[in-house]
Amino acid sequence: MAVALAPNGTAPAALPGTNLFRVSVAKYLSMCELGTLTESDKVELIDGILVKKMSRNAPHDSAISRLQFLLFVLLQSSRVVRTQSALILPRSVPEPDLAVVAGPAARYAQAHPRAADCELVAEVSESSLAFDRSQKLQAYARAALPEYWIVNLIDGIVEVYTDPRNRGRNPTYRARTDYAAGESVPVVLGGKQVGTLPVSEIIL
Amino acid sequence: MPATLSRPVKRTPTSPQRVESPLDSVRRFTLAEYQRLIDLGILGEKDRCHLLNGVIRNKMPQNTSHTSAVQKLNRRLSRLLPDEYLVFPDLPVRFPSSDSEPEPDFFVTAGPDTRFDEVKPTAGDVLLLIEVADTSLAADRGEMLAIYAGGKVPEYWIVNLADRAVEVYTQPKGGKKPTYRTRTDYAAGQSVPVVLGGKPVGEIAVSDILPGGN
Repeated sequence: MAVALAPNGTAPAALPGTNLFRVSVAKYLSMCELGTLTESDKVELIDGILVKKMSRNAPHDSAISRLQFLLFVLLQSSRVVRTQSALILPRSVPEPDLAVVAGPAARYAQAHPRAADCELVAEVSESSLAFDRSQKLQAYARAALPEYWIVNLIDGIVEVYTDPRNRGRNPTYRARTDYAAGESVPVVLGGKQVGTLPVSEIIL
Repeated sequence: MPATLSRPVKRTPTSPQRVESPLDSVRRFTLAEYQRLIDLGILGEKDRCHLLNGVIRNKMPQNTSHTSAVQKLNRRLSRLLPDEYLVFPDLPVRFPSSDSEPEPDFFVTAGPDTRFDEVKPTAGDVLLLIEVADTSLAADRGEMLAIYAGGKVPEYWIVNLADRAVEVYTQPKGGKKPTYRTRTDYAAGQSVPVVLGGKPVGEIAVSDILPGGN
């Protein structure tokens, strides 16, 4: 059975004591546009900090590809499924491993999706698990993204975070439900369950 | 040299601390990239920041005792130094050795006035660098000291407001863990010799720059 858990409580403040200069979303987009940051820079903006992305391995890439395939089969052309692509959120421009955004695809030809376009984000986590549960989670909760999945390769589970609370200094999700092998994760988009995905088909 | 109340205290410099590990995941900038952000207007005067070890950091707001000590030091330096020297207050200086562009409270270079019309001062130009420290003491003795020693700044002063002393660091040692070989402390009642390019040019009484005089 799926286990409902209290979410992790308040996420730790990012990088305490280092007095880092926070880069605004506008400045970050200028850096990309004017070529200060290029595609070879594997970075994303999380709460004003330019964070290097973790290097990926085979289990990580495999899980992304499985998830992308399963969601595509389930959703067909009703939604757009994007992988490792930028989302423009308040104070952050993350590149989640997977995002389900409203269609049609043409609306993102000139501009990245924003928080309001986004119905589900997922991260596949191994070495990045602690970061994905804290700073990343806080960035997604701050943007009030309704559904955040962590495909946790260490424990072989899918953690589903829902009910974002974005007021106050430490945004978080009120609910976390874990799904283990043998269980299926409900896919809830716009408040409606549109299907389920077996954990054993995401994490092989 | 005028008599002082007691001999300056020789001390072993503390070794600088390593930068915190959370910074390992932060994308660093080279000095050239940082300059480009400034040239493109992405970073401007309103962004109170500087580059330390490749990481863009906020500059700390300054409190009253800091402001007052900087003002006093400014007057003493201006009176003391002949026109052939340039005094830079709170202005950027490049440290290519560590991808840093801090804005120290003061640094002094040789002139003439037109020398830096087209180029930013670089570590090698600096003859004396001064930080006034209150809450920033740990950073000034640690991370900043390592940056300055790495750039071979020959004379580094920390005006230590909490301990009412001026710490003078000399004989920079570069390498992987840059530091200064010598630290000499001057207390209230004593005078700090001002040495520029190995040449003594005068001295500044510690009491003249600390809050409340003696």
